[in-house]
Amino acid sequence: MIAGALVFSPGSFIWASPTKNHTVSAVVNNRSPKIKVTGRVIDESGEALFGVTVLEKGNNNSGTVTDVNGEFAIETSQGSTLVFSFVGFIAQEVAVSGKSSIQVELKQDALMLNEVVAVGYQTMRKSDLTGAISSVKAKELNLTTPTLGQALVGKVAGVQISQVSGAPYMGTKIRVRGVGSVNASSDPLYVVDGYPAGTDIFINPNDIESIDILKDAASAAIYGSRAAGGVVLITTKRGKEGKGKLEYDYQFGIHRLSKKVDMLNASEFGQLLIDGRNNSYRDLMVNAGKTWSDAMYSDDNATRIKNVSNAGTVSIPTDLYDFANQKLITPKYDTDWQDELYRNAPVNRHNLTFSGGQKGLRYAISGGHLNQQGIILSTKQERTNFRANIDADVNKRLKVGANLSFTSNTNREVQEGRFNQGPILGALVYMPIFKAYNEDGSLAKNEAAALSAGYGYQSVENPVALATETHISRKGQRGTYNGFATFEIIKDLNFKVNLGMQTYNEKYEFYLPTSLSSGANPPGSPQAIAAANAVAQTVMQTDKLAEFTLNYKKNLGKHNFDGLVGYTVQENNRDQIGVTSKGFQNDRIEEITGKGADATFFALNSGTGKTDWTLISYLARAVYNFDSKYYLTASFRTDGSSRFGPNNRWGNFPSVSAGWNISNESFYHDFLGKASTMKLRASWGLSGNNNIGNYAFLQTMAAPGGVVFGNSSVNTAMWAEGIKDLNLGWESTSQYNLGLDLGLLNDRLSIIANYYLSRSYNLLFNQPLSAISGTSSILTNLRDSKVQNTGFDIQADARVISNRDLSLNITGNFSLNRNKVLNMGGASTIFSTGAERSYLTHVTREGQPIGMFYGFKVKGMVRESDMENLAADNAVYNSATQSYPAGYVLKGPARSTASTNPLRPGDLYFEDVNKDGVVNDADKDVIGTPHPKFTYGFAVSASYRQFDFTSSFNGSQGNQVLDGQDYYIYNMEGSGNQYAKVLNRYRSEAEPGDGRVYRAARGGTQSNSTRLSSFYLQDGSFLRCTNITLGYNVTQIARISKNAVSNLRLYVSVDNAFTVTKYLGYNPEVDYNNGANLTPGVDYGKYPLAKAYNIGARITF
Amino acid sequence: MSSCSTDFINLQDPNAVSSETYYRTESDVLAGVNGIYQSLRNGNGIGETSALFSEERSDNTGRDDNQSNAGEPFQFNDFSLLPSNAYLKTHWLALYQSISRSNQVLDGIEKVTFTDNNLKEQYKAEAKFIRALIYFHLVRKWGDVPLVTKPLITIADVQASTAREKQAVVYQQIVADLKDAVGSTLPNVQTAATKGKVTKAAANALLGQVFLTMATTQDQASRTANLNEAKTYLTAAYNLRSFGLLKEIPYTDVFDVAKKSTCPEIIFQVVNRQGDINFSSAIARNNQAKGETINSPFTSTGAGGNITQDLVLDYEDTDLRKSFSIKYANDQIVKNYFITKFRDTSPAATTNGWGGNDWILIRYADVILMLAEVNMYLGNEAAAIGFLDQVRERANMPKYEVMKTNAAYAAKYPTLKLAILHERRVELAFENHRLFDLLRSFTADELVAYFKTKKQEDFGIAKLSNFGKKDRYFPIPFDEHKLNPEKMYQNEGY
Repeated sequence: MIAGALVFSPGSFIWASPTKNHTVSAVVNNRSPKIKVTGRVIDESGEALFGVTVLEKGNNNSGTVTDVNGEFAIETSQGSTLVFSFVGFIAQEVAVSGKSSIQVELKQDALMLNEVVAVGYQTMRKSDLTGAISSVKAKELNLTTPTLGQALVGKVAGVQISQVSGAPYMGTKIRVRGVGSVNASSDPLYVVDGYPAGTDIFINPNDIESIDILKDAASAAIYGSRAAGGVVLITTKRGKEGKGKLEYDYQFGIHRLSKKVDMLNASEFGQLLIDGRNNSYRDLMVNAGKTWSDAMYSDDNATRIKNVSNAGTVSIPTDLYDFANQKLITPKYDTDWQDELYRNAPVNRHNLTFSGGQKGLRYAISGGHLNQQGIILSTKQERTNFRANIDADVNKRLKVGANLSFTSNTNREVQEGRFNQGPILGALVYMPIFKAYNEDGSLAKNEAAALSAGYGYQSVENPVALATETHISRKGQRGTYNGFATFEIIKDLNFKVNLGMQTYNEKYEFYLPTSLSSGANPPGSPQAIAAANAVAQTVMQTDKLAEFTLNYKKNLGKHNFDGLVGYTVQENNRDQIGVTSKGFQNDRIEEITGKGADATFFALNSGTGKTDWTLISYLARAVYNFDSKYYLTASFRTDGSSRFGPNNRWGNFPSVSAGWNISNESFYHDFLGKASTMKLRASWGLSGNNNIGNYAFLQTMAAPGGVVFGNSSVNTAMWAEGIKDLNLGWESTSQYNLGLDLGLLNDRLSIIANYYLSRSYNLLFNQPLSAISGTSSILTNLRDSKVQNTGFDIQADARVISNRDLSLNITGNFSLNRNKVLNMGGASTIFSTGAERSYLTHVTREGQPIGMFYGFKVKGMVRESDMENLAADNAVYNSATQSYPAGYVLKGPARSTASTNPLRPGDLYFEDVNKDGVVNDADKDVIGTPHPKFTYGFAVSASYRQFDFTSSFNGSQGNQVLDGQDYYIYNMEGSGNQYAKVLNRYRSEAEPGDGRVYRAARGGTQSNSTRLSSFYLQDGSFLRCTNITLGYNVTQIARISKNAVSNLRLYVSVDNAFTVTKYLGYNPEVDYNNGANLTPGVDYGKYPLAKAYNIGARITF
Repeated sequence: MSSCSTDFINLQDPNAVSSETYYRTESDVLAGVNGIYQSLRNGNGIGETSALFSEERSDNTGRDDNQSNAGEPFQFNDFSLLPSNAYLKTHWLALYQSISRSNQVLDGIEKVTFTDNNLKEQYKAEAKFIRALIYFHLVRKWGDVPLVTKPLITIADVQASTAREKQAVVYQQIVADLKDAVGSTLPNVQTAATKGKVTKAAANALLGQVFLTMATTQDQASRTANLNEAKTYLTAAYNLRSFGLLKEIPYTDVFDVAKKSTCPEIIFQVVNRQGDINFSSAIARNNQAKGETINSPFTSTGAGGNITQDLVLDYEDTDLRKSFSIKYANDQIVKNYFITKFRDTSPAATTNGWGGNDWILIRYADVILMLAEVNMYLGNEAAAIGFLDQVRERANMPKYEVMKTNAAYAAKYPTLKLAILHERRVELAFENHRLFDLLRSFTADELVAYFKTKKQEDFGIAKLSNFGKKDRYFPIPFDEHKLNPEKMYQNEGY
């Protein structure tokens, strides 16, 4: 028996739980003689189907369902026709003609029109939907991946699921239909088995039955104030009545770095360093008005420093440079730091599921254990999942159930971002000329940092030491306890109570040892000892939920009505304590308790304290259809949230939608072919966003500071935080959706297409304020603001070949979204800093999409032939006023006012947008987009006899990535290692390189060529094969094992098999700013993706 | 909706008092006043690490490094400052945060009943003094600036006040606040235990400086009146001293960590605590060059506090202030002078360099030289020279009359005005006075001319030729200008 695509969801009022051999009714028919027909129903693979409804055609009063063995018995009239129907399969009619035993094979229904879909507080038949909802079933997920988000990549039209990090403890970024907010989060709301809760990214993917994503506002509006980012409804597997079934899954995988970044080797780096220092020396000499000759490239370091100071900019290590001959000395070491930091990491997964049910009691219990080593040394996650879903029928009218789940995870993490803390960028920056290990096998530390002041190296510590000796761990435990009961008050009227609680406890620990360099200071130095610190942080979070719903369902002839009203309350309490301690003398005790004696070595961290939020909601939904032709749905929700100001706590979220099943009209006449279907949908809805922090409406006093007087003690100092907006309220998104569902070629091809137009109003926005307020911005609603998302998504599923031995399915999706800020509500343009330090990287302004890249546009590279013109320009330039005489027409490239050096051959120059002869802030503009033109995904799956094969792909086209790492690894300084592309740099007129990569220099070109410009943008388009799986079902296993084992499947797979992209860094899908709307598309030392080779087995007992 | 549900969603932050309800008792006010003082510690404002915004904008210091932090700090001493410079915005914000805190206290204090009204008046005087001090910084650096004297609660309030006010009006407010402080119940001087708090001596000294600045930079019709006011208040400050002549206090005592609470020369300072990880001073260790131990037990790895050759050359040969203030570091990566004026080498500062140095904002040498200046402007040359000599005498330097006959000195400082300016430069170097001294002593055109007489080679890699009339003022930060381009008009040349 297989687990049919039967969907159950708490909150469901469709209790598709047939009991064994239950005869619905047995009306005696006098007209023809009764015969008893028995038989068996199987699926295409020959497995018995349990729970198939068998009805006599034209007589709905006579019927039965199949048992666990797929067998049935029914009394019927000779010559009648039996109809076999089952969720997820195409109904089949069989004429009873003298046979008393029949075998029926049901074919899977590609369109799944009869399957039910979770829509929030209820389920609906897919064929009845009027909104835009994407459904993904368990079998479509990439289940060899360790997290749910990764399993979903590329599967859903209109939903962008990005693998932004390869860390074993990180999830994916999900954006439904673009970004409609500025400062509030655009994350969707996750609802697991009816429980709206935080991002439970560590749910066991094996437990999932289906995922339904409410994309349009009309569908999402039932979740009101939290739905503007879309709603992801996750339904876990439940037990079905029948023989108990035990399944065991085991998977072993090896994860490795999916892509190695091409960097310079030691000699290439050495030459870059020499060129950089020599060029800078010449620049500084020329700038200071001193005489220069190329013979001075032989000047020793002391002479250089005496002439121009700036040791780090002009000195070259004597073991790298033959000063007399002006030649590179081949470096002693050539370390590939990526090889040192990354490893082949083993991953083990076990999963055990026990499910079944009898006599009104059904259960599904599962346990999973994952031990995933990260590809970066020392990182890992160990995760244990447990889940028990239980349903019971107390009597015919009262049904109860419970969902219990528990997840425990232990992470060993690593810092990301800048190389002073993060080994990822560190492994790219660290110079290949240094060794990783000493002769005695210990880690070589402080090699580059010790020389940083003298030779201008970045003061970066050995990234292997950073990764292994900085200890960061996180232990989390999440429990969800949910009980529900449904009572049939009168026929068709059900009352449901759902009470739930979720707890989350976390302990985070951090220890920076004395054994790492602190800046340039070596391990164990006073500075390193002073820098050593430990952090311990605990979070205790409790969430409570109560939902009361009343459902009325009535069919009157061709009128079908389904109504729901409900009341819900939710309360969330979070309690956090974080402390930092210092004063460690050594690394014997890597805990906060190992701190030094002085009381000042102990401090509370920001974030310590209690935060609560509460939400009260009233909701209603009415669904009506006439004759399965005309559909109408309306819903309404009103939410009261504690997050908003007292004047604006309540928000209303209505929606209406309609559908027209054209193919059910008599005039349709199989217009699009035999057995084709066609449905038109239209909807409008309003959803809200309350994804902001708590208490953001109230100005409070800041945490106390201190001030010292005389020689006495520290005195407590108080002051008010920045001002807040008491009128703070909802951000609302109004969305129209038009949809078309097609079923073609005899159910072989299904197409779901949607067009949408959404506008977000009253944007939650950190509005810039003058410093006179004491702060620089305030979170408020921009009253007349509007952000628009308009787009198109289409999903196609084709069953190309379908027969007993061979099947081939192809599915694909395509999404296109256009984002535009229509109105900023009078606010000025927003500039954001999304990468290194204070660089302005993004701009958000009217008429453009949110978060566009901002900077100078590179116009070209200065060449020797420009020098004459530049000299002519210099002659008339007034450096004090940074201007040219009025009317002067520039002869050469425009100068940058930020440049400290005159332009030289090999320097970049920028577009002088306002044509005033100089490049300054006024010439910055939009230089690129982080938003793709379109995204897509497709999957090909096939099976041949016992073999099955699946492959999935996803891709993005037309977006750019701002590589913030370039500030260090693409700056031609030779202060850290660089992309191998730097070999194409300008060296001289004879060796001009590729005309794009500017000349080597340290300090000299810095303030010009490294201004944030289009130079740092790269094409982020990619096509990625996210999964390839080849499986084999050992059907003989039942015979071999004498039925002890009923099924055995073996498989091999590769996750993230390959990525086609021009991006130089690790991952074009990267998002350094973790989903911030204003600063997307930045790469900066993020954990690279892993490629996983897996082998696994599933044994069914 | 029912009141029950309204209560359910009516949550207040359990971790912090709402600022509206904060002021209830006298001790709340005291903590609020401490909050204003706390803002003076901020290096983005006028704290000990704020040299970027003043000393580096003058001819005293700079930096060799034109590369770090996107080259933005370098823009200050390179006179290529862009309005979008992030450090500039931070400085502007930090200064207005001090003002905002003062306004909050002055508003909140009225909600509290005091048993001792003198105490209330003293708190108000402290708040007004610091507000005036910061506005004085703002108006000198930016010219016209927004003037706010009460807490702004709503966005509309803030937007209505986002407008530059004429310098004259800002100066009126500064004078009013300081006159309130001078006439208040503030103590004349603090005891060793309360050093760091405002005194009448400080209020008089600052008010004198304000009038002196107004005299030379504001409406010239009031020049003499302002000079006389300056003389009055500077003299009042001078008369509050607890010593006779400056020479009674050795120059090195002023910066001696052991004497920071008792040295009678110091009028107003930000107090730091030695050996304390959070409240110690970093000035000694930050300025120390690699291979040196004169400032701090801390081991430095960099070049230390940068000094222009122009300043090195401005010290007279035998000036003890030279050998105390600067030193040549011979480490092979340095080979340059670094700042040694602030030292704490005691073991209690530890190898982390957690020094006990207080950050001196006002001291008597400054007041005395301003008295020289004001007398010079008023034509009382003898009195002016008397004050000048008081400072020179302490430094074991020959009197002005003697030096006038020294050809080199006379050539370099042909006027008494330039001699006083020179004396202030070497006496007060690295105490963030130089920029304001230059702005007070010269018009924009004179200032450009003054800088043009200097040599590029004495300025390192900063380009002296970039100096222009625009550099008389900072640009209004880009973001602030954008908020209201009309009322937050940009300064000329940016």
